[in-house]
Amino acid sequence: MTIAISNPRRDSRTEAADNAAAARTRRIRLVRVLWGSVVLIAIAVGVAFVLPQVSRRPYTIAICVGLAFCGALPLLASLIQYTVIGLHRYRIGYENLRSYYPRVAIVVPAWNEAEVIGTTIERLLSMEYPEDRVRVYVVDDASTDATPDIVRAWHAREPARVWHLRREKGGQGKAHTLNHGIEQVLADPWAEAVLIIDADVLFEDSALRRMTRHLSDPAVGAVTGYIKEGTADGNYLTRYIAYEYITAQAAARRAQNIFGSLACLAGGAQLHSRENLTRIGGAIDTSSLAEDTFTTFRTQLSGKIAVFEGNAVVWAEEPGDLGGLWKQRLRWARGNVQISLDFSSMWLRGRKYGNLGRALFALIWFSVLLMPLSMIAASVGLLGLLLIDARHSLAVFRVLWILHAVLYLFETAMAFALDPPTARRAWAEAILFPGVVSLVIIIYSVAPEPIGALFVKSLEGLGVDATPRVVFWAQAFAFTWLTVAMLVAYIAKWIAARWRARWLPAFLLQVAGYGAFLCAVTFAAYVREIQGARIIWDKTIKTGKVALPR
Amino acid sequence: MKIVDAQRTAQAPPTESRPAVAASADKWEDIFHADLAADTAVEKRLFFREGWIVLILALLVLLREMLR
Repeated sequence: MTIAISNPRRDSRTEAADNAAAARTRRIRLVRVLWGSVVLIAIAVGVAFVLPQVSRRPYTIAICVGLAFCGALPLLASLIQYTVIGLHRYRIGYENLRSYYPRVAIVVPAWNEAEVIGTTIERLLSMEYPEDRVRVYVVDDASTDATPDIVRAWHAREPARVWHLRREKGGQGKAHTLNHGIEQVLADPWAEAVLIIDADVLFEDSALRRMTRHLSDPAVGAVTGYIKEGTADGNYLTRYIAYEYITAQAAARRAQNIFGSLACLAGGAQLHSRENLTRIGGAIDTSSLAEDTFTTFRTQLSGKIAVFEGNAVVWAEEPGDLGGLWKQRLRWARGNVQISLDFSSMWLRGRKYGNLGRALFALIWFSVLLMPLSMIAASVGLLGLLLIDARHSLAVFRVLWILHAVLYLFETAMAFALDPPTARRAWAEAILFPGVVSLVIIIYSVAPEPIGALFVKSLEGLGVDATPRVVFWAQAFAFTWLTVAMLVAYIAKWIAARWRARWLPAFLLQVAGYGAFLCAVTFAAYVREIQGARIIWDKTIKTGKVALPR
Repeated sequence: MKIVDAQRTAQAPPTESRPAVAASADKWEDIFHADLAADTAVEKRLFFREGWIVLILALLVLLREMLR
């Protein structure tokens, strides 16, 4: 059966005008924030280099040290999160849960998903969950491929369990598509919970019931699962993503459960109680590119708890090329910039907004969002120190990188503890995650004498004497590497889009590091938002390569 | 776009759950407890693993300081 539905909520012209106004407001706020940052850094640098001419040297050093330690803020945020992960067992509240299998409507947005939609439906129907308590609603966003035929065939086979909701006019993006489905689901009293997923994800047998049990606690409004990269014949990039998801989800979201403030309910596995979905307006936000994060914030600000269930595993196909990954992450990063500005009144106002308004959550959130700026500030600070006081600069540099070293070892070891199969699969990427150059710097910071001697020997091997000038330039390179790495990562993406030689972008990414790539994407997101780029849902292409592990 | 909700209302399946669910309630209760036991064990293991990792890291730092 096909159900054609019109836009249920707002007139499209009103909505477009509202979204344009929201985009304008965001742009103004972002320009203010970025100009503020630039002016602050410029004042700091100006004071650091002009003041010594007329005043005392310690001020300059203090300012440069301060700028350098901006680079330590993301490390501090990660360290705090990793330190508490072990305590998750005391906060997840398993002892208070009861057996709960609500009637779940699964809303699947689909636009030209013929490659994957059949497998997804089959998987959803074969989950270990009471059979008559699951319905799948595929919201077909005016697909032009075989998607409608496949879904119709499934409906013919499972008329009470699979529904085909056809939009005759599509292309407005995922949030609009979801809203068409949610409107239909909420119009019927059947559903007690709504699961929002992507068209390509594969749920493990137990994933849904492991999520629904949390809704037995009325204080919980929404639950998300652990999305794992599951491309069957993956490459180095999908393994990087697999490893990244251990750190960004299995680790960070456990810590966020402990702090009582979840940053994001993953768009690919987002379970809401009916009550929660109704409370937050019965629809998904369409004004930003991070509709899942918007919903996460709304849920928590309305007084409900959002939970990450790390044992509910969902497999997804992730981009296997730099261009695709850039496109996906740019959308996410732009969405996060938009969300930060939309909720600008919430930050650092814990009394009014609860855990989301606390300083700790702001530190976690902005340590990621402002990471490119903190890397640039650190480079400027270190370079300034090098110019005015080489001895101090080396000490600060080493402290900063020893912190990197501790976090690197801690993160890598914890990744193997959190998700051993994935960490084993991506062991090389786990080791190379910071990038080759950063790894060398990390080793140098821990053991400066042998690495320094090795460096001098290597130079001699190349016929270059380690003169003070050469050492100065080597230090300058190391001190500014955090910024240079972003540039190298961007070049890797640029080459990947233009040249056929795949080895070169891959090589550059290994040199710069995956983190530097993500920083470059975030920086690009600032630029796109300042430019006032249109909010277009640039879909990540899925090819059906995802498979459940045997 | 036009609204064709009538189709949906006409073909909507019954909203009540089937008796099979009640009959197999014990089975689902057992599954719930099995999941819970497994997940509690995972989180408990994580607690001890993290303890070991912190201990080893602390020893490494100590060793490095002693070797300086």
